[in-house]
Amino acid sequence: MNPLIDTLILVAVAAAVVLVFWGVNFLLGPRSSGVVKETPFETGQVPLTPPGHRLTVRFYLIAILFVVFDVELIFLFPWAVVFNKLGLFGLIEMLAFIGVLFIGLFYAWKRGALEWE
Amino acid sequence: MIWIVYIAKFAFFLFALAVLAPLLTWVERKQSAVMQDRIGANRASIFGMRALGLFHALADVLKLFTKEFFIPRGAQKLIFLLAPCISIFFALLGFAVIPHADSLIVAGQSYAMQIVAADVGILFFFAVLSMAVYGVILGGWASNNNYAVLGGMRASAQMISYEVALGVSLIGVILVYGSVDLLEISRAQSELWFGFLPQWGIFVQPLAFFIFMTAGIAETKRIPFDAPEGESEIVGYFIEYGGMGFGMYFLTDFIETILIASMTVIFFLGGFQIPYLQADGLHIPGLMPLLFPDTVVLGVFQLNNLIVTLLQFAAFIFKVAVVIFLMMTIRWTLPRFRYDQIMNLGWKMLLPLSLVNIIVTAVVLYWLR
Amino acid sequence: MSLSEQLQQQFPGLIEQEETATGEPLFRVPRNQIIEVCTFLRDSSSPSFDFLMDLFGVDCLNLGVPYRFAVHYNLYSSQAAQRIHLKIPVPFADPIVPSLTQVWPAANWFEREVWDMFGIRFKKHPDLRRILMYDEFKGHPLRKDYPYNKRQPLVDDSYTDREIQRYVAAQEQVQMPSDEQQPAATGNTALLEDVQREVAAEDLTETSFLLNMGPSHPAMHGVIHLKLKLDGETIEDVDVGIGYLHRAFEKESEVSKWNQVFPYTDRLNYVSPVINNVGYALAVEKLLGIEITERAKFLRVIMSEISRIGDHLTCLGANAMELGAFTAFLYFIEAREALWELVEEITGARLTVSWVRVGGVKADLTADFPQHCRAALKTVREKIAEFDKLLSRNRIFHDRMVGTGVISREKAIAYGFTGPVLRSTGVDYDVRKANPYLVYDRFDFDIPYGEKGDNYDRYLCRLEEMLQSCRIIEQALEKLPGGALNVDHEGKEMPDDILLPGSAMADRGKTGHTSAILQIQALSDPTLSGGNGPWHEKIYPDEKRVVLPEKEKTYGSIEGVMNHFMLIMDGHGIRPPAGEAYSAVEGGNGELGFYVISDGTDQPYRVRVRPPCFSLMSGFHEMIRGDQIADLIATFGTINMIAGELDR
Repeated sequence: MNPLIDTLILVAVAAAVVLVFWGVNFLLGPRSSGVVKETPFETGQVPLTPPGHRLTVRFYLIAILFVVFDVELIFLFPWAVVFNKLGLFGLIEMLAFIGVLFIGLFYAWKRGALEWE
Repeated sequence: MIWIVYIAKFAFFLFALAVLAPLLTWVERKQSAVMQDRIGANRASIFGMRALGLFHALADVLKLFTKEFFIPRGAQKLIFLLAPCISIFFALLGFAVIPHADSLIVAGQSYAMQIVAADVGILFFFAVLSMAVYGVILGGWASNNNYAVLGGMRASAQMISYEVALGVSLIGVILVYGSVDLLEISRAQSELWFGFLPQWGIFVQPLAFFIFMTAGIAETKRIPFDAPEGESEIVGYFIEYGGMGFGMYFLTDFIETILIASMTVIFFLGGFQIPYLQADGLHIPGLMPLLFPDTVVLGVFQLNNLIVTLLQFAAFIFKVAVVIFLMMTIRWTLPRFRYDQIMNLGWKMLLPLSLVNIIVTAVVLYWLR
Repeated sequence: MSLSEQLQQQFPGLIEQEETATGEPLFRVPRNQIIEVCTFLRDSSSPSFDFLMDLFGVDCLNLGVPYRFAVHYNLYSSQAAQRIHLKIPVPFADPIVPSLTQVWPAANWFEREVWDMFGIRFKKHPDLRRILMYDEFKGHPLRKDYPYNKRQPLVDDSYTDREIQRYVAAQEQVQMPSDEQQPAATGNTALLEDVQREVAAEDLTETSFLLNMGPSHPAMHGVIHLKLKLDGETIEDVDVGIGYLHRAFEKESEVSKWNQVFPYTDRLNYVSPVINNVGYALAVEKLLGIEITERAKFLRVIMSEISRIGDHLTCLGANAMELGAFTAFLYFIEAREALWELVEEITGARLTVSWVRVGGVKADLTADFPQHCRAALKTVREKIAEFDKLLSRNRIFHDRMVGTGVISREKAIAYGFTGPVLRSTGVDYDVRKANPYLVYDRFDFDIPYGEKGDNYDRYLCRLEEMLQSCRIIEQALEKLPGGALNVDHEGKEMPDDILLPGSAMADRGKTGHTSAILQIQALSDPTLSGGNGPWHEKIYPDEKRVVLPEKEKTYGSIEGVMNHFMLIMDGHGIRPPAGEAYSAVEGGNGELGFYVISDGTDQPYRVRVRPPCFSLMSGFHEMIRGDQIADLIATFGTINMIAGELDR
């Protein structure tokens, strides 16, 4: 019962399910095309701006914040598992770490990185 | 023997996919109907049988299978085809690590009631959840449609924001139970506090429960967090998808709902544990002699291991159903958040709160040690 | 000093007063003076006229006047609750009028409509293009020499193809730069050109883009097209495109009999059709100079208020639904259903009721109506309380509504806003209080108004207005007088021989009750209802020259047929004396006015409707600029645009 083998089999089953979904849909679904139909649906009008334009920078800010906090989240997992063995040293270390996280969060907050408007 | 186990496992897995997710669409229809003083869907019939509209779930799937799937002009074809697959594929994988019951012992050998008996269940869950974001953002991006791009961006920003809060809120749970193995965490919740209160996550980590539930609903992108697919605003990231392409996104939402509900149950509602039911039978503190006079000596109402496992399995399903009911009730009661409100809630409320939760948990645990 | 004297003093020898039957002053102003006169009336006269309620054209081809067109201005003074009409003659050879947009921004869309319909140009108008008709339309349809049955292809077949080709070409250019020349842009909006210029300039800080919202968008109900200029999620600008539901109401009215206009008015604001009926009937009655009976007045009030509640229920419910609260929407629809059953009971129809007639109404109340009505109002109150509990203090809802879609009081007045949207800014203008019509002055009710002019204030205003309407209905039921229902053209009461409720007149077969019809024996019965109706003996001829006879009489007696025939046949219907009249009622969204002009024949010469939504939508961009896409949905919901009324 190797978990790795189990996982691989599961991946295969899930992939098969997805393939069946596509396959049956392609078999049963009708097929037709036309210029109007292929145009992107922008609620009934021909699009004015193609979607390749630049997007607002706020999305990217969120992405960077996510990377910052999610990486730190990874550090928290092993600490939490062995917390009982680490004792006072581990507690204080992690309190300091979370403190730094907090400072980072408040810095981003005060600088307006979390404001949407 | 081992093949029987595998076949049983994957049969169950496919059952969960093929029955539970469509069933959930029916539950959603009927529950909303009850909440809204309506009858709800009941027209689909097979040979005149309507079965309270249950066949609508079937009709839905059939309809999606027989609809055209086409690729709009200018779309990135490969990514466009792949995106919904990524979404549903990883949502399905999430089921792998869910422990549905405690280990079943047959002929002296123990079988885990998990598809994959991995000891890193939480990490696997997070890995899978993070991957599901890609299906959404790629689908939005590859569609060559302004609405889809907007929806995809909204969805990805929302999902990654709430993933942080989701992860941080679980640190407290891991601290308490000292493991990232979902089976271990479930088992640890069978212990009692003060001799009667089960040590469920909701009692041990109440704050984390609320944060997890909120962030979990946000991950499933349902009301009040359905800004990425708010159909009255931007229609959604799947605006260009038809047929099963849309169907897969649609199913992903329901599968994720089940997944999040299962995780809530595992972390906070005792998993498969029934209070006072242990591997060898019932232990009701103080009441055993009254309820079952013949168990006075042992203090245990003995039950077969198979029966216990079945009971636990039923308890797990029941708890998941309750959580889903709760999520649906929220979905049909609240209006939708505006996008910046979602971001504010995630970053300015849930994240600091969950960090505070870790600190408090760690300090209390150290003090109790 | 009277207004006329003030104007004479300020502009000696330029302004003539015309006599109308309406009791409201009408001045003829030379066209080069119109800006000065309007500025004077807005700023310096006493009372000062702060609203431009309406601006429309008239083609005077058959009126026997020396000029071809006239442009009418309808101003309103909120301090004195007084109206004034201005009229400028415009010759055919040189149809140019100074634009009033610098005095009132409300004139912008109205002038575009006049250009669209009559081909009158406005000097210095910022954006003079078609508004209700499509760009490719040839001619100006409200001119009298434009045949009402002339057909034009709706859109040239090549239009869609051309647009798509343009888009495809533009995209290929983005993806793979080539020397191919970009096709000329066909969209003629200033906004599009603006952005194209910016793209051409390669401004690296520019992140905004254009997004079409509608006409086929779930939230753009009615049908409307918004061209949004977005920066991320923030709306920088918007261009509203309307006319998708244009049904030529005003043109159709000119080729119908006076009574035949009623069914068209049903389709204006189709959520509260009775109010439209009443508005038009009041204008025609004003022209005829008749006073309707007490009972008819009360009936009109009751049904108007029921419609108003239904209107607000739909508006708030749909608004909640678009914000995601679907359950709240269905609670309101349930309440509306109770009201619509009342409407069906009285009028025989649910949506297109055509219940009001010139001189009265089509059908009387049923005997059980007061009980039914009170029961329905109880349901409505319960649902409102439930809705209030669900949403008003819901944090998500509250945060989404407060501070979004804000319009200042000054701007709301300048754009000619009326109704709940105006009242949310703190102006308590309501036609029912300011210029009471029918019997509104006899009831005790309040006009709720807000202060901030945001979505939440509008929401609360509508919520409270429903409760006030309930009060009015209850008082009206208590005070309801008996007596005759209808009057003839001389204003004499007509005996109420048959007091049939409308529901009994409804054709059951048409509403799907075919099983009942199948069982009917084929009797040679004069009434089409198929049975020996109790009203059969009551039918007798009487002289009705204004009100159409009941359908039972038309079907059941030769005199009724003749009566009906004479009123419907060409050249025999009711004929108001030549003249003009304006009458306004408070519709669901604000002042709903009808300006009718008669040339003495049995057909209206011109029916102009002042749709409240039109002004509201013309100021829409002011409300959503700087908000987010999600706020646009909330704002659009609280404005409650009804396309049937907007596009006519």
